[in-house]
Amino acid sequence: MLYQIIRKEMLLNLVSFRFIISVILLFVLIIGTMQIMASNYGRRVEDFSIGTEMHNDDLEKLNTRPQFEAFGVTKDTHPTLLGIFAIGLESQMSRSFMVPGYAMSIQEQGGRVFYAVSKLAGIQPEGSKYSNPIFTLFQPPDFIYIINIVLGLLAILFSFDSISGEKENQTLKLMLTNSVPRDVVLIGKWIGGTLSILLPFMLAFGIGVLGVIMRPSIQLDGDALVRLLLIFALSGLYIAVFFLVGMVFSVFTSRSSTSLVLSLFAWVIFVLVVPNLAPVISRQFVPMKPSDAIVREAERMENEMWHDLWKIRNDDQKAYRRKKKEITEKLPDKIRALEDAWLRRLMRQVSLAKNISRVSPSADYIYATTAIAGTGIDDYFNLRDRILRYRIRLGETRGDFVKDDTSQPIPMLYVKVDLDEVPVFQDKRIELVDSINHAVIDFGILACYLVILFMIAFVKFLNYDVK
Amino acid sequence: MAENEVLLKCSELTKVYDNQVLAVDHLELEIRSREIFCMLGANGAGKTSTLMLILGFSDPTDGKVEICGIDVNKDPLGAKKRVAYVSENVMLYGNFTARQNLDFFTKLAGKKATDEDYKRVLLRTGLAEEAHKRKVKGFSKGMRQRLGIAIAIMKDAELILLDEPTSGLDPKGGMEFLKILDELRQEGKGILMTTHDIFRAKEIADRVGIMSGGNLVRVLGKDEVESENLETLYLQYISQNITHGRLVSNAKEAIKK
Repeated sequence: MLYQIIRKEMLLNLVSFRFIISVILLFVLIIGTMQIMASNYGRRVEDFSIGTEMHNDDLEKLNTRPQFEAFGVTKDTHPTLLGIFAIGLESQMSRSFMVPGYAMSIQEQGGRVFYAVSKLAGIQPEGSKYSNPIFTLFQPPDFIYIINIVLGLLAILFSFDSISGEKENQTLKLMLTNSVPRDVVLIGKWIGGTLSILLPFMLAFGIGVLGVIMRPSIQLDGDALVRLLLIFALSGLYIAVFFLVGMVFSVFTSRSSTSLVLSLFAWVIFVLVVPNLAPVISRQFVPMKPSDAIVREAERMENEMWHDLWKIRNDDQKAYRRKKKEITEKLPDKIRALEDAWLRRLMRQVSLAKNISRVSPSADYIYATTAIAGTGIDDYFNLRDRILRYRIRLGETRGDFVKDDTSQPIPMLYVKVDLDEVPVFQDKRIELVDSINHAVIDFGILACYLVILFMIAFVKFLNYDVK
Repeated sequence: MAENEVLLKCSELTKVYDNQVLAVDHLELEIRSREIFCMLGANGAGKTSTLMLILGFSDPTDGKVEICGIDVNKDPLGAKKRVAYVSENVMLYGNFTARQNLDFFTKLAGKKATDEDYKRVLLRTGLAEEAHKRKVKGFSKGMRQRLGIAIAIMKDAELILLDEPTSGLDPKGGMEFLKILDELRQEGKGILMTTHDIFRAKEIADRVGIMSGGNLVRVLGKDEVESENLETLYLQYISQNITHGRLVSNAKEAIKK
């Protein structure tokens, strides 16, 4: 009986006009976007190779101390392969970062100010030097954008009349005159309807992925393959949830036009309103200054202290030295405390926005897929931490790779950089297990949505009075 | 199927809707095998409400319905195996062909059938072969009615409920329809047909019940149907009982009546 209902749903969808349009849309969008994103990834990899080579050359050419202090070491981060499917924060992660020489001399010159504050400055994204400005105007959508927006909408368009349409044309009544339990009808309609979208989606996904892996620049290892399968599974779950959103309204209403309007309203709330409103609400509850204000505040603290020291420069030299020692010891701690407080607040704001937006299945889907792809919020903060640790390491080993150039008349004004001694930047991303751990909450919420929406539809449908 | 087996039994069947409208009022009704019972009544007399209660689509406020001895409220799925239903305006899946619709509902009823069975039953109900593979959305009302009957036949249920099935059919279609009902009766089916069509009721019915105010105010046997002036009787009853679908101030009052 269940099979008959599933089969009927699929056959009816298969011969419908909306199915044909949906299949065309799915194939064009999914395959097209994967190819565009794969091509963009190839370009970013090229940028990375050129950038790495260029920055090494530049480092080798630094021969005066002022140059080294100003430009220091520049490193590039490798683009994330699965950014092809879920771009997330990739544009802010796949880039180069610079550690000026002065930021490596932390303790003696109060340089901690620079590297600590640059922790905040690192938030700013950098655009690719090679990109065509037209691409910035018309950003290509990535795979999860297509799923989030288009597939979510298509799922609703397939389900809004699944029950109300059959109420309207009385076929539900005829169906229920048979000894078929209502839960079987509902499950059959849900499975049949969801499969009607999932099957063409699977096909388009498969062809799209095939097109991506056939590119010579792209190598999918086991880790990436598992991540890709998880993204696929999450996408299927998301489509099933949105199908149920339409189905719930379909059960509650007896006119398909009403259920369509209500379903679209829910789609707008879930996909557009909640995810965009959440950061605004979190800013209201956890207001914070911009990072530039913290940099200025740190500079002000530093200037004030040095100014105080300047005023007593002609006093007792013992007292002056004591004061200077006190300043150089305490100033970094004070500034670090200021920045840490700002960072803690930032994390609170991010966390609040994330939790509020989790009301929306759309946000849950984005958080989970970007976490699995390695382009999510946790990956972004993880990269920043690694950059910070690298800066500390550069400070600790500076003496090993930058040496006075004794061949010059005034050696301390010239430097020689030994490239082999420059610490390697460990561009190591979050492990698969940790990515799954980061995604598991949102995956769980999506699964809960599935169960709750089905239960709502089920209870209502059981109590529905056929007229 | 045993001769004269009681296929449908409504005892003290009462339905008061949430808006306090008394739709069915202590209805007593029995339909046996090889019997066609025509239920006449004006709009709002309670005919369709009665059918909905028989099908278990709404719960009775009081009383009970038994189909082949199965209490509809206690075992609705068991009861539904024994009953087929054809509505006034048969609506099917427009994007399916007649055959696909028939196949779906036959399998949903748990019956197995071959292509030949489908062809035979569709031809029996008067659907020309060229229409079997046509999409139903292009069908006339009469063609959909025929397909509805074909679905009911394929279900092979003991009891068949027909809700004003001849309304909108042309005279030829109506005649063919009655012929099919007669054949089903010969096969031992019990048929409950609600209708406004007194002439066809006279022609086919073994018994005719006049429904008004949610109850059968008069039931006529075959002899009476032939001897009485059914038209006059019907008009007389429905003009006397213009309070059909009346409001009751207290649902419990109606139940205790």
